[in-house]
Amino acid sequence: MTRRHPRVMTLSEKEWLILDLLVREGELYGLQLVAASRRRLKRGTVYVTLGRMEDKGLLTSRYEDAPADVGGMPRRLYQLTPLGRRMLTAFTQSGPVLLPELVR
Amino acid sequence: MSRPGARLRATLARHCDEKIMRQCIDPIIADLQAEYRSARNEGRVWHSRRIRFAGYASVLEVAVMCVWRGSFSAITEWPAVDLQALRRTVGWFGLVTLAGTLVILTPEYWKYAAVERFPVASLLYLMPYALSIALPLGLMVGIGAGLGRGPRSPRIAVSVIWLPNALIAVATTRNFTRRPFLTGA
Repeated sequence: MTRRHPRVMTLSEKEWLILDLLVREGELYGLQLVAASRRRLKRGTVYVTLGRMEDKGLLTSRYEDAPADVGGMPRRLYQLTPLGRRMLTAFTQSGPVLLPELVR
Repeated sequence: MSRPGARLRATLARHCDEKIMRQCIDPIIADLQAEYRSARNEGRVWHSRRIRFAGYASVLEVAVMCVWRGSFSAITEWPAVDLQALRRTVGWFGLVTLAGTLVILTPEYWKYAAVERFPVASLLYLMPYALSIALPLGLMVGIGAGLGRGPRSPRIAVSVIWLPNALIAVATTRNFTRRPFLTGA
């Protein structure tokens, strides 16, 4: 069965914050996002949100180029996709009208 | 140098699917290892231990959230045997918890009733103590009822046993890791 109305993509406050940080800082690790958010993002939940945003196509990620002698797992860097950038722009323009709590 | 989280990752890899590992578990463990390595290189031993402990708590939290989301996102698509097992668990858990609470509170009720007419406030005061006994009892019976009879899939075992206990573990661990510890990654 086809949907009569296409599903509207929404953006939670945390997702908006992540997009905003990424557009300002460029590529960031998960923990850098937590640090830059001044505790508005939590270490235990940020990765779940990032995964969800990747599924939505708002973000893309790549493994860092770690030096070979360091060892350990490669860290993951997140950056905006064009869709994420457009969503942020649209949300920033209409957000204060739709969700006044975002501009506190 | 040891790599924190490697063993935990190996354990989780046996239970979580590839997408959860790739999107949630691997990035947090990679960040934990990098942060730990950085603290050790700076000679901050206690800080590195705190990072390690808090990192494990976060990994567990992420694992619980991901597995929970994966297990319950399509509960309506569960097979009938799993739904029956879940219903048995929830039903027996509720019944035993309620019965246990009543059994513990009833003697106290009569004691208070001799002094005041409707001792509701006194009973509410005693409720946490009664629940501290009745809840584990209910959980134990509920798990037994859910898994004891009939066929079931591995998912129900995860949902019925692993998740409640992991949630309790995470809630307990987080009490010790409330303080900020970020080093700026």
